[in-house]
Amino acid sequence: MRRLLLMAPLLLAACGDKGIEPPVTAPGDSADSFMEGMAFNVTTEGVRVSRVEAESAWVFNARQINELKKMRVIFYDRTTGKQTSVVTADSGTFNSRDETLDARGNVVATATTGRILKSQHLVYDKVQNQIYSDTAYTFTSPDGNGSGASFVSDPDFKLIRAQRPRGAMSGKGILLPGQRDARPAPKGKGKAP
Amino acid sequence: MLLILLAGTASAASAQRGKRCLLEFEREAQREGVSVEIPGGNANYYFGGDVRLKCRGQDVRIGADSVESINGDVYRFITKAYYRDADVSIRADTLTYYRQTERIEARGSVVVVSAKDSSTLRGPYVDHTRSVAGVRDSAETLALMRATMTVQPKAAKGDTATRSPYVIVADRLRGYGSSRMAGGGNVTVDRDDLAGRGDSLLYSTGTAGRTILIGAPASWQRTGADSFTVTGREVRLGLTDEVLDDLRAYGDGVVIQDSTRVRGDSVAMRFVDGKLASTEAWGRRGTRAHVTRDGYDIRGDSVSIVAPGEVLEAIRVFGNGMLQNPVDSADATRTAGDSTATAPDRDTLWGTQIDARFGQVDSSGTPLTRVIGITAIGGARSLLTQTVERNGTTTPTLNYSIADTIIISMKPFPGEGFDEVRMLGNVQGLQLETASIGKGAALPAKRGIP
Repeated sequence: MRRLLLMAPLLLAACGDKGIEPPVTAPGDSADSFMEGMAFNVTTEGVRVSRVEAESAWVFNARQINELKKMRVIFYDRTTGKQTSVVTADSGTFNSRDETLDARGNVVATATTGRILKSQHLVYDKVQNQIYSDTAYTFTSPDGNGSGASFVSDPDFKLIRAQRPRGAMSGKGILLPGQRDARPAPKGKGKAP
Repeated sequence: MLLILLAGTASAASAQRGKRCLLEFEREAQREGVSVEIPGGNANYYFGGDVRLKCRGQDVRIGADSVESINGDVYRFITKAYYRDADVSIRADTLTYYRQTERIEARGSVVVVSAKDSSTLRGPYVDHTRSVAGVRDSAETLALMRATMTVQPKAAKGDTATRSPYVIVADRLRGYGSSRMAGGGNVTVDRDDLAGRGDSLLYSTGTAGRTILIGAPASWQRTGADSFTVTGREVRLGLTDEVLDDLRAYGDGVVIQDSTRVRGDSVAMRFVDGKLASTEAWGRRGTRAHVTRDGYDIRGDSVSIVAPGEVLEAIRVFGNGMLQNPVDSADATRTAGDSTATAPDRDTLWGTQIDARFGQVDSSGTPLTRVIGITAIGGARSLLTQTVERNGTTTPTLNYSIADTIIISMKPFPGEGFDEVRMLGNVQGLQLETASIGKGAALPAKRGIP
């Protein structure tokens, strides 16, 4: 403490000559910039693989993250460029360093095949080209619906791996032994001529 | 019956007709599930960890440790697989359902149980294929690798007694629809007091069900107080409402019951209320029906034994009939140690038709079956040995007679031997008496030559 006091005049003297000032950085809990209606594309070798949209975004340059509110991520087929699925969430964090998107709150992933997956937490890992959730999820699709404790999938929901899954088939169902389709009623029978 | 256990599931169809199965989890899989989208918009599904599924709104449950669905066409249930509905329960190491061909394959420790009557099918390999219009008119079930089927016989009306099941074992069992079954390869059919053996088995149910055992030879045996054994190249069991009422052996047929042995090209036995009522045997092309009983020999083109309630009432022989008495061990015509002696004469009766009638007599509280009378009709012949009294001494006699009809009446119990022998039409005969042997013939006196 005494040393600091001794050094104080020197420091004060130095203040008189500002010299080169380091860039001003925001504190860790405050954003470097704030954007409304933010959108950007995520590409791989120049090919767009997804598009991230948010009503508002807080950009933290030092941590290389963007905090997104009311976010929406659109995934595209890398080969055809067609949209494959859309993920919406109350909020999310996009980490531009490892290119992961952490979506939180009412996360809904909708595939163009009609599959809809809902969870409170979902992570998109661009490097692995995976989305996964470590919390309970539910899904619906033209084939049926289900739920599970957690899952890992590709963004197109073509390969889904779930823990402790359950669900129910929908649609026409299948014929098991002993089951037959109902015969259609004969035409014209019972009708007035 | 059951071989159609899986086909039996079709009976559930009546209740579930018009319904398809919408599978759903009874509870979450205990490990994980994988869904893989495949070209064409379908997906393959894999689930692991005590997967339990059911058909929504139906009493159908199916599951296994692991389940996979390939393209929605093949459903495979792996390890401790099961299927249950209102009619049938199936357990196996694996169950595979092919939706397109509507076929179920059960492999490894397969147990199929009918909920209706607890009949079971066990084996390592069972296939079931549903009926498909234009392809198969009825469902088929195939069990290979020595399947065992336990069939609970249908109880008659008012019969509350516990009935032990039939156990059928065969290398191959194949069921058609819900009423026909075939077995092949060392077939055995067992019930506590019944045993059948054969190379092949045909079985049909219904009001006039039939069970046919074919083998070289096939056999059917009943043990117990009223035991019998039937063998033949083909043994047919006729069942009315699953109760045995007709048993036939075709091709070298033989029936053995107590001291009775019936042999013929074909042998038929009829049962009333579970008791043997009649036995019939037919010969064929030189072979004749042959019945032996207590030393009696009966031969003919065909033989019919009438024994309602398993009490002998009549034996009828048709065509080239012959009836022989037992060998008389005290035959006076035989000389001990005489190597030149011919076979002993046995009382024998021949006729185109022979009818022997029997009656029950009481012998100190023991019922005995005795011959009452015998009738030989058409070209009848008789060879009878008897001892008769001549001038105060008994002497053996030998009588050979020919007549259109011979009617023999036996002495009433406790008497023994013939009471009366009556011959009718074209009677000729010869009687030899030992007392007469050696006497000079009474010939007419010689006349001088003129």
